[in-house]
Amino acid sequence: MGAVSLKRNDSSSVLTVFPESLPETVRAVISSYPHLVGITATHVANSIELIYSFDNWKGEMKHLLVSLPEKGAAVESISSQIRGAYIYEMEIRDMFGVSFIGHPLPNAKLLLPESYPQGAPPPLLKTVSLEQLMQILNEVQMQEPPSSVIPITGSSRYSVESIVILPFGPYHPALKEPEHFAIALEGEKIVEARPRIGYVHRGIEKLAETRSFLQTLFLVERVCGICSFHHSWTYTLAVENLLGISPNKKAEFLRTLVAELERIHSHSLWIGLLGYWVGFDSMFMWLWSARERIMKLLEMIAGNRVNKSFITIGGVRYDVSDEKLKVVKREISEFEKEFRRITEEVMSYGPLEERTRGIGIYHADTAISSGAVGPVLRATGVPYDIRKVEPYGAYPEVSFDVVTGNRGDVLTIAEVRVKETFESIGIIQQLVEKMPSGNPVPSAFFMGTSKDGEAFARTEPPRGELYYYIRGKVGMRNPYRVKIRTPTLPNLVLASEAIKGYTLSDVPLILTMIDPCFSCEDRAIVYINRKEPFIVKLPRAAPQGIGLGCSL
Amino acid sequence: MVAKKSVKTVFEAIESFFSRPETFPSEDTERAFTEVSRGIPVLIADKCIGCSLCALSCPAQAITMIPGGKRMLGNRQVEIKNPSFDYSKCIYCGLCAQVCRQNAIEMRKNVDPIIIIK
Repeated sequence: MGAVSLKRNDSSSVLTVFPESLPETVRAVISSYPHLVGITATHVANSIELIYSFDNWKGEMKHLLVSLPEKGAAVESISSQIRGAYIYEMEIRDMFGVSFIGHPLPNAKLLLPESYPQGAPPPLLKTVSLEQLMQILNEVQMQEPPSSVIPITGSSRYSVESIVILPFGPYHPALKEPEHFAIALEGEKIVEARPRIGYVHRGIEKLAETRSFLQTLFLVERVCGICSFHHSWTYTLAVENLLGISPNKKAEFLRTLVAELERIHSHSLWIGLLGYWVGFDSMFMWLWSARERIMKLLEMIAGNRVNKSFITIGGVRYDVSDEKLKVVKREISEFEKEFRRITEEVMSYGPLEERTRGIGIYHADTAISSGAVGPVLRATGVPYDIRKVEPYGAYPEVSFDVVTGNRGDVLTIAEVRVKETFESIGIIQQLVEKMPSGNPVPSAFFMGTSKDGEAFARTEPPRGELYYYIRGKVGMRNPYRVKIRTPTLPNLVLASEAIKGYTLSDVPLILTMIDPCFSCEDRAIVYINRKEPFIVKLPRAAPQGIGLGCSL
Repeated sequence: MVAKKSVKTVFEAIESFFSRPETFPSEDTERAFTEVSRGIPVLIADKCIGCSLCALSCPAQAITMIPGGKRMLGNRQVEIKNPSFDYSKCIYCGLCAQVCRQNAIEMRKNVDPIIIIK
């Protein structure tokens, strides 16, 4: 039902593995559970626990538990078996100081600034306080001269003179959000691309440990500017599972309604941006003006356009009256007409098709080994949609199809997203028809303490599977650990794979085909000196996550 | 075929000429609040009993409790604290107004935009 408790004594889904036998176990597991959902690290009393979560495309999960000593934690890298694992491992190396033996990039950083001191403690350890962390980063930024971006491809790999390593980003006209790619070029052809994110890193996972469950709900909503509701929903599902609370039926329906409206606005935003990337600005304007209807609906339902703050633990915060539902029904059918007209005209337009067909081709096995999720994976024909494989909310009550494509490239992904938007419109019409009665608002908001336990939740935001892991300790007001795995992270691995062999002019197009959301995977820390209010000492990274999409 | 298309274009042009423009009129965008906005939290001081629920629940930690005078509880006088809002931190989510059991916080829309000068 979207969220499941992790029961450590249940041997069918949880395996405790010794660090030295991890590679063989992973090899055995991925034959039947090919999809790596994520790697979660938690710091528990002198040891670091790693949880490797796998899925078999049917919603059955397998977790491998590895416990490492805190000092000098090291484990074999599994990136040789699942390519996408390398980016998760880099994240854990940055945040927990675990070293991965045999990792393809042994010294590169993914999220922390390059100038983070070598001997300084990793940020997410429980022994590191927020003040200590701020002090470390402040000192680094005050004392050291701004270091140039270290080309992460490493010059030793390419000694041939014909290959140029081109730094692409973090600030580039083609990119709406800051991230850095080191692109190895041979002439105009791309040989290799290496992503480096972390320019809008805000430390949300660390902050969540200092706030109560209810306050964290508003914090995780700000991970992403587009799928904000899905982030809060996934978090809520995990917390409700942990605390044993269940919302009533109307709350489930209203949550699903807002989630589907969000999917429509995200997809129409991306399809409009596709036109923008290829230089077809009219398409961008048309789609964004159609999307404005949906934003108006969201504002009417929740009071906010972007960060809806609509959901709460145990229900929703506002009831939606029947008059408003009538407006939703009317507006959604108007939107459907408009959207159908625009997409029919646009997708049949020759130049657009020529510019996107056969760009960034990738195959299903590449997508699976990168761990790709969402429309990017479905475009290759893998029907993996969390709404179907692990139904949550009101999805069991409505009928819809999982849209798949037959080959992976920019055009197929665009078609998949157009069809998904129509499916969402259908879901919303069904929800309005079947809306149950009742009071979805809980009588009191949850402000109590947590129980012992672990829960994880998965939902299907517009960009693909989103995974939250929450751990509670008995008597604590705050979550002990919140782990967020956003969909862009594995998709980015795929994009840097799919980019090989194309020209530099295709880079923006292939990068944005995954609908990237760099604020989703990053998290900037802004230092405000308390004595001098509003003097912001800018880190060398971006000061704030101002992006179209997701980042931690 | 071409003739049919051009006739269609003419009709479309006439239709677009009389239909609503896609851009918003400026007076719509300059208003601080629409009818469906949540508004800003304002304290109704004589209802407040100083329980601090709002300050505990505030996601942005924008509420500090400051001494707010005396109040009769039963038959004795007690010092109570009232919430004060830091509007530069506030995210205008309305949670404080929802958790308040006394309805002492009101979300108001009929106010001018808040100008924060520090």
